[in-house]
Amino acid sequence: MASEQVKVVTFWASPYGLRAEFALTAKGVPYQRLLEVDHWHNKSKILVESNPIPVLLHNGKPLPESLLIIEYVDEVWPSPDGKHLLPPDPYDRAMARFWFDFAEKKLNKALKSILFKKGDVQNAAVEEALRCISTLEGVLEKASSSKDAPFFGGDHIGMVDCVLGPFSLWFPAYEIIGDFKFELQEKYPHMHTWYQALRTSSVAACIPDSDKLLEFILGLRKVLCRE
Amino acid sequence: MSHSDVKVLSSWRSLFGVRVLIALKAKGVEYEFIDEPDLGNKSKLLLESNPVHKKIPVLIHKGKPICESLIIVQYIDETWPSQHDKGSFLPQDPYERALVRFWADYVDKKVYEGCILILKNIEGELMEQGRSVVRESMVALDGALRDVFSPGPYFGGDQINLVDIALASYLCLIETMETLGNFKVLDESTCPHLCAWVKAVVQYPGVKEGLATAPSQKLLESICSMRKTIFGLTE
Repeated sequence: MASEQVKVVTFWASPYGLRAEFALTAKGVPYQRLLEVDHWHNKSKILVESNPIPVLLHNGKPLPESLLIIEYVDEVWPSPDGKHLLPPDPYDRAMARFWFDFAEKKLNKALKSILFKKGDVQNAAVEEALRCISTLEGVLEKASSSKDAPFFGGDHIGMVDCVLGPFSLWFPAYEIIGDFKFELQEKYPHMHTWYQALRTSSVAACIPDSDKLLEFILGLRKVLCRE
Repeated sequence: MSHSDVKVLSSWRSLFGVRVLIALKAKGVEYEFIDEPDLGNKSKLLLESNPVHKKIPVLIHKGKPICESLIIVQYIDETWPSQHDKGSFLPQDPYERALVRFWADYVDKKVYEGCILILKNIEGELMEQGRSVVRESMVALDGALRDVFSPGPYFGGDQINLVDIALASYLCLIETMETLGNFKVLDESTCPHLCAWVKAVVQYPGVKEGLATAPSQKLLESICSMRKTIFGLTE
């Protein structure tokens, strides 16, 4: 399939866009990035909240929503060496769906609160985020994750990794904004191994420069705090 | 497969549970219903089966728990073959599958949002917001039936799909929403396709039986009682 038929409309710092890129990269699908202009800075909170990317364009057909894109990518393209983003067994699939739903609805929601809120609400969000990390640590521990199989997908990137991975890039920024530490290495060793493994895996090529990203997120926080 | 292999841990009041029952009945799968009567005092089984969210429904298949209603429905679809020459709850084509997931997710977000505002409030700004969200979501879903999922009558065409199951569960709640919100949820002039959908889907094998487990009037009485005792609302 020619690469010009697969495009991702995204913004360089968007973790949602990166989910789509992780999925395509993990499946070995060549694609073209169409970068949206940065209109987040100096704009209102409403725009930040309603940013409608990513969009996957496959043979001209548009598909929004990062979670839908990941499943679509898994269903359309064959998995190299049987490395599916979602496992083939129905029970394992249901478990993977449960955990990416958890990552999106619980952890991501808490992380967003850290970014958008202040004071007690922010503090509560920090506690909730750490509880979620602890839960996910338990998932990896139960799956006997190791250096050879560090991902939620086991020895390869799966859907949960695609959903959670991009948001983990924002962890250093959340620590500064929320004035806390995740302490992955000290308290959540499986999550720490996972965090490191992502950065040396095939999807590492998609990851933006960490200094640039940090600067962007701290700037975004300033915009949000003005309102 | 003995029906004790398949257990549903839920409450008759749970619309999310109704979705699971609809899916099982549509597939002709026998199951054992385990009642969770008091969510203020959760059972050991629930806490063990769903330690993360502690919510119903939970499907327990051969001892293994599956949680979250739409995840359960997809699991049911992938595990059991369909009956009566019907296909699966999701189409074969990946793009169409994505559209079905999009709209099922829309029901879960928007319709739910509107419902909760109506159920948890008395007349005022939040109630008006609830009515508005419900009306808008009905119009949007009507448009989807007309443009995305035509010719219907179901979102799955001539059979039900994930969107039909997600939305059909809310039919049990229409009487409650209309009574508490003092409005008409489905207007023939703005949602003609959805109105036709309602007439068709309530007769669909599996849906009819699933909806019958949560009778409208009984649900209204139960919710009115909960509004007083749990939310402290006075009508």
